[in-house]
Amino acid sequence: MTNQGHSSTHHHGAFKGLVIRLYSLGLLIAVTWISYCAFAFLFRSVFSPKLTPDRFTNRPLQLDLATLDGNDPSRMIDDGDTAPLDHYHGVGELSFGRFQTGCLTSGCHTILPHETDKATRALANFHVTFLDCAMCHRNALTKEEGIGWKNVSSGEPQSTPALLLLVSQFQGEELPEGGDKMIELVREAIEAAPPNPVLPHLLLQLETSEPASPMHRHALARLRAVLPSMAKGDYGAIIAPKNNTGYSTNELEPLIEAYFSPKDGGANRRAIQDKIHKNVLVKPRACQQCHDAEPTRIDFAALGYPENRIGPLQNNAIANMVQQIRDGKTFHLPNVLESPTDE
Amino acid sequence: MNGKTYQRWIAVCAMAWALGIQAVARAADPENCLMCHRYQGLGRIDENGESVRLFHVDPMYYDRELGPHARLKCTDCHPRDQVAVIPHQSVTPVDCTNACHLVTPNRPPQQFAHDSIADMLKHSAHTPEVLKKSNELLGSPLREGQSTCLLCHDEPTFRRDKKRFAFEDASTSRCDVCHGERLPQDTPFAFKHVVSRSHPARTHEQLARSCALCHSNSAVRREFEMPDTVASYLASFHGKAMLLGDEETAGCLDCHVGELQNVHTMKPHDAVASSANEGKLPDTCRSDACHPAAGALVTAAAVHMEITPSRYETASSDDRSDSSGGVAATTTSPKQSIWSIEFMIAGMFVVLIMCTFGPSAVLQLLELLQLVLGRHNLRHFEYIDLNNRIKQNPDGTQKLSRFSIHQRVQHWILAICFTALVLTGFPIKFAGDPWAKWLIETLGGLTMARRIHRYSGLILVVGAVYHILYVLYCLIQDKRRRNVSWMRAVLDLPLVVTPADVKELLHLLGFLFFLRKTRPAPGRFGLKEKFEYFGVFWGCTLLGMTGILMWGNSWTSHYVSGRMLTVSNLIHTLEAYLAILHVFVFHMIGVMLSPHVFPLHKAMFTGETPAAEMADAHAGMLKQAASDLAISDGESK
Repeated sequence: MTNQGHSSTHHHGAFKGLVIRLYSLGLLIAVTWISYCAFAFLFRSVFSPKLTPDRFTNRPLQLDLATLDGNDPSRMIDDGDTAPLDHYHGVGELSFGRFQTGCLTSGCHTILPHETDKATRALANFHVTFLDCAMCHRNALTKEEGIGWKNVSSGEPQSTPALLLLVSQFQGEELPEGGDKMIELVREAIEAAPPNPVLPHLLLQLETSEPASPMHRHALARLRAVLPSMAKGDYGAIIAPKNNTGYSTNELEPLIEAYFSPKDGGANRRAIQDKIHKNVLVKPRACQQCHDAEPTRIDFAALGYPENRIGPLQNNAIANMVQQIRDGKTFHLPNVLESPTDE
Repeated sequence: MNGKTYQRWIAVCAMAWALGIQAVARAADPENCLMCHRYQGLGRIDENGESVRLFHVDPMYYDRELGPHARLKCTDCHPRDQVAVIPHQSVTPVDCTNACHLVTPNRPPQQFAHDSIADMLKHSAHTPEVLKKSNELLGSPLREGQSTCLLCHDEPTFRRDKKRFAFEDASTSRCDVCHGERLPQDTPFAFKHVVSRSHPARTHEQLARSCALCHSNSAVRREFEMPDTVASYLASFHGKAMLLGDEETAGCLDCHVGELQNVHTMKPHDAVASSANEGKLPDTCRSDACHPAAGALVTAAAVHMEITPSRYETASSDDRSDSSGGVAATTTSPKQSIWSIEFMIAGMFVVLIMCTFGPSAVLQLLELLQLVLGRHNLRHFEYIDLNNRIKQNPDGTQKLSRFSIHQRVQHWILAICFTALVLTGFPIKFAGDPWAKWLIETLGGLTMARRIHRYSGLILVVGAVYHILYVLYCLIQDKRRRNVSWMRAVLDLPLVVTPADVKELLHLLGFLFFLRKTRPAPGRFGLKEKFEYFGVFWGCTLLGMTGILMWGNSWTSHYVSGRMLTVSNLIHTLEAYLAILHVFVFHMIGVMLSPHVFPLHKAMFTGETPAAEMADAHAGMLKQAASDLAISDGESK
């Protein structure tokens, strides 16, 4: 028993000694590192000319895809910075990275994927932020197949985006009542929308005021004033077919990997490309299928679009205009402002 | 209205309805361009496959009138005959000097143009030629024909902070208290326009980033033979304050654009008319907004701090003729000598730090190495036993007490002030690091941090003076009690370095380098502690003096020189760096992290030193106590 006690004490002492030695080793390494860093900093700060920190110099000079997708922190444009030099209009809220879904994540297509048709490429590109590629480019897609909203973050189907619902609620002459449901919608819109100081501020006002109080009404009035400017295609969700008749992601990923693989390059690449695009229409269907008085593919009302937006979207004039452009014709805006006497 | 005109208007109205104008047309967007341009993805990749042409225009800018251009029609800037065709044909880049039509409610449109700005630029440092050349040197980010205004400007906004929406209508909505809602429609816009002109639209940091575009670009600097002025600004006290979020400090424009001037008339600093010119600088520095109480000598303070002048790469004459090859030479900026007072002071401090912190760090590492190897003083356990036996004596604890309560209180005042000084001063040295800004913001901003720093320093200096008086009092008491000479009394002060300390140091080095098996047996204070004590005196004196000179910068600039502020700043920062290194690497490990004392040395709480430390570092004191208490110390055996 005594021997066991001695042995235990001995083991305890040895363990404690080991801990102290390891701890001391840690301290030794720390002191060495700190001393090295201290001297390095001292020499650098005294004997090397000062350089302007990267964050002052690493600004994007031209607007490019890397800046636009907003995923590279070194290329982020802070609020208050000038835009890249070659771009005049503000770019504060741009973040295209979150729209990289489906084909845009493959590495083949960029976030501005339409490049070939000079006349319509910009017009086609602006659909990227709210329309799945399949809507125009998938073969054998019918209205009956079902169309709905797909969350850009999760890829899961979702109901009408909160921002559109908010816009719908403020269409009438009278201000809506506000209250908890309205607050919840604003909160959802904030989560879905890109960073913007306006909605959080109004949410705070709504949350901290009694419904029907002057402050609540004031916040609602301001909400009504700003909502139309916010409905610009960035709802945190895109319109997509409900049934995925093309490849699933699991099927597509190996094909994409094979396409980019050096060993499968060359002769196989074309075959892989064809396989990937087996259901894809290179030249999409006519614009009138969506933008028509009676669209054959999209039911804007069912998608939750506000009534006053549905009219322009289903306007024959617009569809005809775009179709004319696609057909290689030009379209002239009316000379609205200049009176005939100006000429 | 004739028949043709009538028909034409009917056609226009019909088309306008067709395009949905009736629902969404804006005052500034009568052509309804935002019907398409509101969408963020309206853009394309350029023919070069890299740059992007984005045609999105934020409708909020126009709907909420966020900037002075919010009331302009698109066709005021973009030629109407080019954009009226959809798809738009090649559109001529916007010429900012073109006249546009300012539309004010209830008034006829007014012609407005920026051509006067273009005239101003012709006589400024940033002439059209300079801007054009700069664009080339930056790699021509601006396309052919684009206005060089874009090098500094983009879509102008009234305010650029995140809270702008919260305050957008705050001021004018107060008018409703009396005016009801009968204010003229354009009052909020006019108010925002005027207010935005009363303060910079951008923060100092955002401005510095704009300036850095060219002034920190090596190609531009080489061409115009400029030092990296943004880097040297960021290293100065103004730049550091700016990096820490202080908007009260001087930014680029505060010095380079004089009162009643504007940025477009900015002259090179060597031009007589420049506000940064030697002749005008006293007035610029002493303007009402900056240092109105300063003396004219304040101009000698380094607003662009360069201990070692910045350099730019310059091609040799041969290379200039043949740009395809050759090695670029590196040259210091003109008119700058490396052998400045600042450089020499900094150099001296480097030597000082190497000669003081260097040996301390080596000593600390060797001490830690002994612990790693588990190597002890041969008499370590013998001394521990002696320590325990002394403590068993009723007077033992008193004999082994190394600090009186009075001394401990002085130490804690010193420790608290030092901590406060480090927390508020160290972030200024590392102002560019995110943690520094966070810490300063946590402390309540730079103004509060400075206040804490200054008053902590003041308490420290007062404490140091008090300690000197305390030592003098002890000295006089000791002299009277022992009836010895002044010299003897001074030499017998416990923290005065004596020849015996040098001998002990050599003994210690012998042990640490494995040449001896025993450690020396210092008394109440070893050489390391005496060295630290001397460091505190030296540091308090130097930091206190330079700190007071900087605190009273107006006085200094009147009676000494602005350059003294730079020198003081340099000495202050380097001495503080030395002090911090010493305290953290040497003192803190000794009193907190060392395995003998972990987690905290009790000596400064109870006056009692741990047995292991007494055995290793104060064996002489143990022997003295044993002798006084007639306890055998074992050496007689």
